[in-house]
Amino acid sequence: MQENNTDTTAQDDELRALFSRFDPILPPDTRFMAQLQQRLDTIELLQNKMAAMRRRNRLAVACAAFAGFAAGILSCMLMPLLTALLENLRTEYLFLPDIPHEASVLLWLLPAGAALLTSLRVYDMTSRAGY
Amino acid sequence: MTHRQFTTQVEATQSAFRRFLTALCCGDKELADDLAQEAYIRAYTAVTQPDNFRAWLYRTGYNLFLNYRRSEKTYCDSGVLLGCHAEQNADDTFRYQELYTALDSLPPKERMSVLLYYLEGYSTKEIAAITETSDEAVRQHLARGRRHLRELL
Repeated sequence: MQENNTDTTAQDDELRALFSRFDPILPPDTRFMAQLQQRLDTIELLQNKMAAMRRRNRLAVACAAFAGFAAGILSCMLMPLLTALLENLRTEYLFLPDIPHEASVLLWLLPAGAALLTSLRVYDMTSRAGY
Repeated sequence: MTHRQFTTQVEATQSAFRRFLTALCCGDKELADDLAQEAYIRAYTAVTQPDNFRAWLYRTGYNLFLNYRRSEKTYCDSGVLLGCHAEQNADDTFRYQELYTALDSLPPKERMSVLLYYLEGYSTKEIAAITETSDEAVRQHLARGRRHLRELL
């Protein structure tokens, strides 16, 4: 047992001595640092571009939401006029069938469609704009 | 970590880290430098900075080395490497050829433990933390590594 321990210690010392002499000639530190710096600069550039893109997207979403909301409100305000216009048309042109009540509900798709289309258009325009 | 702090860390650790990776890659200095650069890039872009930068760096370097081996499905071959190195480094590689051949014969875990212990001077406890294994496992790797190296060197 004692001999084994002595052997292990001797091996340990030999290996320590071997690795302490290990000193390979590496490519110059300056070259390594220059290459690393170049890669870090590229990464920073990409990170900045992505951050700018995220800011632009947030602005586009905000503008689209506001524009869609405004278009929807405006369309809703015009709905009574639209309904009155349809009634007038039906009165003038008697051959037009009665507008069922359920169908008048479908008229509310117009403000919804206006809001959606306006949102999409404003988002498209804002996100493409060069900020 | 600011850019300046990171650069200071790199300058303080790069020499020993590259030397370690050169031994891990059995003398392939280009590969060692590529792995070192990749490890530093990962340190720079990490969401949370590690508490022990050096230990984290060595663990990352080791994991990158394993990934490289899996993707390449090749082993370090000192005979092939001699032909790949620039002429000025041929003497240097020849000088350590026996060591590289011996290291090449060790499984990655044994090689890692041996290098961290004898080359970098880490204790078994520190090696266990770096390699995310137990102290007992590290001791076993070291014992086997010592035995293999004794047979070859």
